[in-house]
Amino acid sequence: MVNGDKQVDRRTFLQTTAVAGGAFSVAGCMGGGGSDTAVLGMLQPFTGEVAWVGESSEVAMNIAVDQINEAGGMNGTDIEIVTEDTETNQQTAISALRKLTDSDGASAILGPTSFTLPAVMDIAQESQVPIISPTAGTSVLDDRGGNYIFRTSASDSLGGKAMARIARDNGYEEIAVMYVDNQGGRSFGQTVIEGFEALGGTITTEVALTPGKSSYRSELTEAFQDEPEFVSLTAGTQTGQIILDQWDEQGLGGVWGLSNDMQTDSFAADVGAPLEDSYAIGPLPGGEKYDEFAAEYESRAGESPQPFTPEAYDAAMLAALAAEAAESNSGSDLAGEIPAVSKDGETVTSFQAGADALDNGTEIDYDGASGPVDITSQGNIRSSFAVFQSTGSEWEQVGEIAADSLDF
Amino acid sequence: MLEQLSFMTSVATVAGIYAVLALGLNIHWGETGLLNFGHVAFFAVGAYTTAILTIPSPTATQAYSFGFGLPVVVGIVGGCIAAGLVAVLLGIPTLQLDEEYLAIVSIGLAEILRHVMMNENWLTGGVAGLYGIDRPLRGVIPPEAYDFFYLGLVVLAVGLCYAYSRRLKQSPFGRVLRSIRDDEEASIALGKHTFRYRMQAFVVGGVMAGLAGALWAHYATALTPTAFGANITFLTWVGLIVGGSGNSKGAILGAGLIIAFREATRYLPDLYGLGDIIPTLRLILVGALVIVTIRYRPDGLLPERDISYAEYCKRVEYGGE
Repeated sequence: MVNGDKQVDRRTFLQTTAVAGGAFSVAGCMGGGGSDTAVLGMLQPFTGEVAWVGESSEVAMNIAVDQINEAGGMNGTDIEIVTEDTETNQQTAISALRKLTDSDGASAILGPTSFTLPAVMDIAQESQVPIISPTAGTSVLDDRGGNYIFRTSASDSLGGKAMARIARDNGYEEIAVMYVDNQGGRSFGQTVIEGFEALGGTITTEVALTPGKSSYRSELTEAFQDEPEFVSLTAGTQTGQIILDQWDEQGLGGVWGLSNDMQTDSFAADVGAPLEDSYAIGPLPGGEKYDEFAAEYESRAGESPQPFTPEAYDAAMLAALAAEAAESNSGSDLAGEIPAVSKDGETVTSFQAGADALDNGTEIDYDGASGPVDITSQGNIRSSFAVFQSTGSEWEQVGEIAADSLDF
Repeated sequence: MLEQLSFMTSVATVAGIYAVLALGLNIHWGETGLLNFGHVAFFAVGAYTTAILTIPSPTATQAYSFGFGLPVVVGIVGGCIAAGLVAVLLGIPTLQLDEEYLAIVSIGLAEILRHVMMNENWLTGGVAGLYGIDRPLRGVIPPEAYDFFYLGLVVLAVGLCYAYSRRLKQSPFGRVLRSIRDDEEASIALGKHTFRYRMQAFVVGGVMAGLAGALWAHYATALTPTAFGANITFLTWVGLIVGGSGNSKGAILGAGLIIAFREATRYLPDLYGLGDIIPTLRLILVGALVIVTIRYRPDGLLPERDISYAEYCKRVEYGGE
């Protein structure tokens, strides 16, 4: 009988575990933040179509943060990175951002991509925590940035204009424009159209594509109906590869102008000979600082740096230098210093050098792995592009488009 | 500590919005047996309607061409009405279909609506979305107390929908709905015009989802089509199944649990240093939760209560109906 009385029945067991579980998760909530480290939040997609963005930029950020911590940390405090997944979804991104700002007390947020950045920028502004995105190219940010919203990646509207320039400078009069129908693709595609028309050319057709299909034959037929000699394509590598294979199969002719996503050597090699003489735009190959970053990246990740990783590294550096300049790790204090440390001053390329110069009261101009990184008052960077042409197996740089030539 | 409270407030607000969504779905599925897999459509219509009614007129550089700058209250009411109208329009062709057909058609319509949002730039701002949506009484409530005020508003909405659902359990209207769910032939035989009842239930549930959408729009202050994928529909379904369909308390509990679960797992990396795999693991855990619930509590944590005829007569007597 004694045993019978002592036995825990199912209901009690469930109740106890539920209460314990609840208490545990609350205790978990209380654990974060409030310690003696400064937090940099990283908000990127880790699941879904663009999961590679989160994984690769995390490697880059870790490189930056390790260097900063070795040099004594941000205002003498070690930095801890807290990562959150946006799932490329607005709702998740908002919850994740609120967790980073409210619960982790992040000094700055690095990320997210074009898909979710427009949805979270008002909230970041309200919470007075700066966002520095290494990955958002969307043209929505062209005139809405500054204040708390910055980016170290070039705007799609600059990329689009650069593409229009390539077509025009190589003597094409009539071009067709194809782009994948998402935030990034559309804003890039639209600026190719606006830019090319501003330069006096004619757009024969504009085709929006749904990414991830297995056949683009009807879209290709539509794009090539007026036999354009040059077709601008904005797409990821998977969609791009399918389109180019089917274009070759149908023997439609003309040359391509490919967006920076497809300017990778593996892409040129995979498509091969049909791509010969086609163009692509891409970032200008970096200087010494990039090589140094690339070597470190390679030793950690076992592959050469993915797109946007130098930008992610620079975003972390800028946040830390701005905190040094503001002599405070609070988001609202350091936000104003972000444009200031990026230009007009003594050129520095490392956190140590920057922090030392700021200690001596010198203004600094951070030049990073992705280039000169000069942040404008609107929170954008002015950026130059390299022009590549395919040899049939790899990309070869054939020219350069300076930032100044894109003011039209 | 205050920071944690602020984060929990925002989690509770999102959970409340999902609770309203789940209560709407409960009227569709739990009460009437309508297999609606396009719930997010009403949510989206409510959100976009209130946004368009309340945002200021567009400037030259903005993609959208309508913005009426009306008070937030008008927006929220407008969002509910628009969602109700959409429910009528969707209901006319779909409600005469059998369950499984309705499921397919409703998921298709929700996808069509999402593509409309992505492509009709003049109306919805396209993939770039709508920004700078006003929040109710923003100037009046001090900023530090605003989150609590908004949570209060959401709790009020949950309360209203809950009170309605409770009333439905006891009303003759609710009884007809349940009779349609359990045996439609029988209720036709008893002389009920079932299409009309199904339509009414569809509209009521749609209005609730529209209300949830309106509350979401003023909470998020920005809308993009990425926020209205089919995953919203299925997360709401998960909440309803875990909580217990046919029971409005269950719907609220389920929605709260799912959101709390999703948000609490954000802290796992801090606890165990598991790092990168957590985001992926979270989705797996939500799936596992559904499987476990269906295996061990097929009717949900708070199942619908079967009321015996005797008990029912007693209730009607006391309830004065």
